[in-house]
Amino acid sequence: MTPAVARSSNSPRDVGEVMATDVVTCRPGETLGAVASRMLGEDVACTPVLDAAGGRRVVGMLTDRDICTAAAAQRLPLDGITVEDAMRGPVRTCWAVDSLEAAEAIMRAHRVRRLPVVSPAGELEGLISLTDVAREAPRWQAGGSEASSLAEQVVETFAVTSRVPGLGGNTE
Amino acid sequence: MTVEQAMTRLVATCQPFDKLLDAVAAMIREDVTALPVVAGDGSGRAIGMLADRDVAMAAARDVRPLQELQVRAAMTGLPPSCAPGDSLDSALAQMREHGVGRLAVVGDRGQLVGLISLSDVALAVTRGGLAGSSHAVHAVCQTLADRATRSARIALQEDES
Repeated sequence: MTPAVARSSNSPRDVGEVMATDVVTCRPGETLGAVASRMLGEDVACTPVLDAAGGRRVVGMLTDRDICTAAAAQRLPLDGITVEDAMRGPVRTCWAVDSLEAAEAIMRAHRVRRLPVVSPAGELEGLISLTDVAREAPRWQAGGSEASSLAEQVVETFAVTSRVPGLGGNTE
Repeated sequence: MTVEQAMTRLVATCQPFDKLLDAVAAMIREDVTALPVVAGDGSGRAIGMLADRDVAMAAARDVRPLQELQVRAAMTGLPPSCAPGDSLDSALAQMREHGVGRLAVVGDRGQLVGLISLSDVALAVTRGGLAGSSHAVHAVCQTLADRATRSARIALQEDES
């Protein structure tokens, strides 16, 4: 996935300017074997699941971890397990017009590190990760006093979404 | 703050001839994303790592279920290492240098004593209070951003080759 092309100004950018738009996706009826191969080939750890009817509506999220968990629970080869049986929902999303702080707050509240970016109709437009937000911190720093607060928020959210042995943690 | 104050001490390990099913069960039980692989000769020597992503890759390459696959088919090498007494700053610099999010913590006799991830550092920095630690905050943020950039760059190189 590649981020949107950077503007030269120092003004804070919104989600739509920072999100990845070439997102690897899958459908509920596909096998984990097919989807895992695609995720590995594209070097992504997480893929939004789009509706079975062939539209762009996001119905779930699937991570490396979900694949492992399903393979262990069902004791089947990946070709014998469908995305539907491994994905998780409900999906937390944000909009392209959201500020990075707003997206980061949603991640923190729901303990996830990635959010699908959707249209008002719930159709996938992109994917934003906490690392995308972290990349913007220097730009904020150059732009003014809010910089340190964005970096602090990123670090706090990264900590909150960490797996802590014994305490539970994020999976996305 | 030192690596020892922030690292995750070894909670679970696996061995090369263990079934992947048992290794995944241990990861889920301990709520960790990776397990060190130790030699099966009783020496306790760490010889590699097994991350959940490695398991997904191995399962995608094979037609067999996890109870018929072994750790050795999925494990990767040990990550770069640091010492328990190293500063968090130097651990972060090492992560950035190697483009990784996790280091092996190795004691003075060469034994693996724990792992330190960017998450561990973020947790330690947050616990210590963010006020007055702006250097640490920016170092963590930068390490996170660098990983993203590096991964994008690697993907780009693969596209071009």
